[in-house]
Amino acid sequence: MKINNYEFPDDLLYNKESYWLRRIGNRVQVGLSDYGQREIGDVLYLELGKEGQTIQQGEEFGSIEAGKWVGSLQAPISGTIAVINEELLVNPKPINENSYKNGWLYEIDMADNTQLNDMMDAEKYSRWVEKQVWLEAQEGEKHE
Amino acid sequence: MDLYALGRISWWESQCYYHALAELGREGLVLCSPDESYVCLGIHDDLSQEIDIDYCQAHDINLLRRKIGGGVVLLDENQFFYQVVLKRSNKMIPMHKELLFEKMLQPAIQVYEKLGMQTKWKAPADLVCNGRKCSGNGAGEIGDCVALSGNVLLNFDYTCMARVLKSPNIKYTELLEESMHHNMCTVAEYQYEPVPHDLVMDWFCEAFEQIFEELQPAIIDDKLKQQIILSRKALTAPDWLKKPGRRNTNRKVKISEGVYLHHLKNESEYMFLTRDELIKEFYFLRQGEIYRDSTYECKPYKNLKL
Repeated sequence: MKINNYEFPDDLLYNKESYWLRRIGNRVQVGLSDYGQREIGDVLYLELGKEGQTIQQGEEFGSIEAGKWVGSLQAPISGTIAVINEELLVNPKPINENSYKNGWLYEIDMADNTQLNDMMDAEKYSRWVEKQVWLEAQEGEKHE
Repeated sequence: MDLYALGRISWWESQCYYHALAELGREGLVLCSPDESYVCLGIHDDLSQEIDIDYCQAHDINLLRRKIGGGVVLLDENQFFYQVVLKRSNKMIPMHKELLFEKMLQPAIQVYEKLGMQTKWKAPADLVCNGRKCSGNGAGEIGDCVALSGNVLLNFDYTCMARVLKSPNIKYTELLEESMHHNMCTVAEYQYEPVPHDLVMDWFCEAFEQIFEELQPAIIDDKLKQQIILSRKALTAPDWLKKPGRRNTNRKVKISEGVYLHHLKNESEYMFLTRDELIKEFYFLRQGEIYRDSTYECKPYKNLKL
């Protein structure tokens, strides 16, 4: 699905923190959506947590730096980090250039797969993004 | 908004106040200056790659790693800091984080104007005057808050800054210093006399009142005092300082936004300055001397084959 020049593949789930999730059995691959990577800017560096680390849904872990801003990563789902994309630790550019393929951040073995019911499909997420874009435009007009 | 108009404070307090406020979930505006020099690493800087630790130790230059973004900086008593702490839920924080810099750097732009320097914001977080960087800024999430920290360069020790940075050879250090002179500027270049810090403080208060409406002098209670001490311990702990960070294959130092000094060694040794990914100055090293070679200049550095 494409909206406002953002792309949101139909086979993925999304959340309001702009992470995408790709289900692979009881494991989920996580990355930043096209909207998410553009909002954050060119990623300079990130810390992804460790394989074997247990995280809870909504928990902040790791960090991501873009421009001169540093923020935390937020777990979209509870579970154990199974694999991290180590290539991004050396070269984070795929997060911005290829967010849905080489730009995946980590894979997590789910503790509770019913949490996937909290996620949005591509259509619902694209409507949510449309609203965010509208709100940002309002904010921009307020600054002028 | 609580105002912490601290004036001259110890080097470590000049970073720890805003960290402590953020960790306590308290909003505040901190205005201060350190009483001596120190090197401040950004959260993701790699100490062993970036800093000549031996030089720092030999010259009693303290080290601290902050929890927000931006790069390595030499901070000292000739700089004035403005530090804003807001709760993450504060509606003043725009969705697009770059706009936070644009908004919160307006007071610094106004202060520079009073000092005779027409400055403007250069995304994401620099202020420039006549194309030269005059202020560095960084921001990030600390606990339940967002903190933004920046400085006004009343003066700057370019020599010391070049020396604290790890360098592959002495000529690279010399080029670093020269590049900083060309790409940065300070208030001292625009004023005949040193500017009193009290005056800068008053101007910042006036300017930030336009953003926060009311600034109330804050009380530094015992809880804050304790948290500041804890912050000092955390931000100067050896493991925290030595935390691995961003590493480059070849030495590369950022001079200002878009401007880098590179070093490359294969059978020969090269140094080059890039601006917006174009090679502006290219040098090779031979028998301890550097020679400029214009063959590679004005070309994209990503295509460079040596």
